[in-house]
Amino acid sequence: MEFGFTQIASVVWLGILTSISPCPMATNIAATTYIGRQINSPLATVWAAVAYTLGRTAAYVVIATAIIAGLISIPGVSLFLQAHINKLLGPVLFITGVFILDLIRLRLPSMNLSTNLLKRLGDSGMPGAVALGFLFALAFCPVSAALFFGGVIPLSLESQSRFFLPLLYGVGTAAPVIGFAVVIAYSARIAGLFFNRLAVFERWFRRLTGAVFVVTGLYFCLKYIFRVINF
Amino acid sequence: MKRMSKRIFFCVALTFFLMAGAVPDALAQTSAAKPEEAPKPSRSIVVTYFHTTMRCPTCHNIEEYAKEAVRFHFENELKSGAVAWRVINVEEPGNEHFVKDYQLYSKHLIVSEIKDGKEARWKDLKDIWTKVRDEAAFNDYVKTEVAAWLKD
Repeated sequence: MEFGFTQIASVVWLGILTSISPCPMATNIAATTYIGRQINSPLATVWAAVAYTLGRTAAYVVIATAIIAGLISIPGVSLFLQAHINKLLGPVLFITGVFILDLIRLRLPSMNLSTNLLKRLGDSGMPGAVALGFLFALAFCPVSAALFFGGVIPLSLESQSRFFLPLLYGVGTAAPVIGFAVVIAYSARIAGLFFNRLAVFERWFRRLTGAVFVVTGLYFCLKYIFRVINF
Repeated sequence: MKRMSKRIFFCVALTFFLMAGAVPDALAQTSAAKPEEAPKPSRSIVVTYFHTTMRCPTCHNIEEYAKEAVRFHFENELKSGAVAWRVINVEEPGNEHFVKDYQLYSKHLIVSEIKDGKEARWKDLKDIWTKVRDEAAFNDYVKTEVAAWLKD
């Protein structure tokens, strides 16, 4: 395993470049509101950010390890993830948004395992943020696929780094989202404290998060399942 | 009489509408139906943009910038057949093999050298993704690469 500052800077930059591209914009907005929604607890925001980063990096490390070990081919895994995870993401985001908005309050006996998992994703806490980070990282779009499979993987193969370089790329992809989330959460907290309406602000921020999830879920359904939009 | 002219207007409008939709389709089908057509000269450089049906805004920019760079810098070569520009959707029937041939995992710009109807070598211009934010740099990158291949 041999890599220096150049490789480290390259993968972090590729991660940031992935994150600020227009293509993962929808999931980034959803992640920003998800991480920053607990404005009454600054510590919860930080932990959500750490958990989200952990989820993203785990996904990249798993894929890089499988490719370097020769278990999967780059075109195969890339095209599969681009074709299928985005289809899965639509319903997942939509249902999670419904739970965040508390539109379904009753715990129905017929509720199956996957629905329960989505309810937990909608609830606050670290497991939800890890799962969200993992899922969003797997939802490759053309830009992230090109930069990860064409940039990070060759560098990782060259230096036989299954862990560190993909991990740093994951940190790079999460960094701008976390930055925004923390700024928004702290600004909302300060505004809430200033107007002495922290609880009200938090309720509205939660509603905003739910609405963003529902809209993003619908967008993914229309784009990847029904294929009626192409933007 | 008024009703009659309304009907004529409606028919003309509908014809134009259908034609507007059909023309780009026809062009797209032409480019996709003949992906492996060999250029006429004994040696030529073929620049191909490979994509899937679903495309992002950046993907459209890449196609636009690359096409513009090839057209602007290699106008004479395009006319003579020394350089060719193609756009191929790998999800269309008959084009799937390109994924394996060029190890495609996203949208790609591939430069190939065709000698006597056979592909002698090819290169994936991977830096398109890091240069797409700067149109001038992207244009220069494509120009430099294609020019180098023409010289070799």
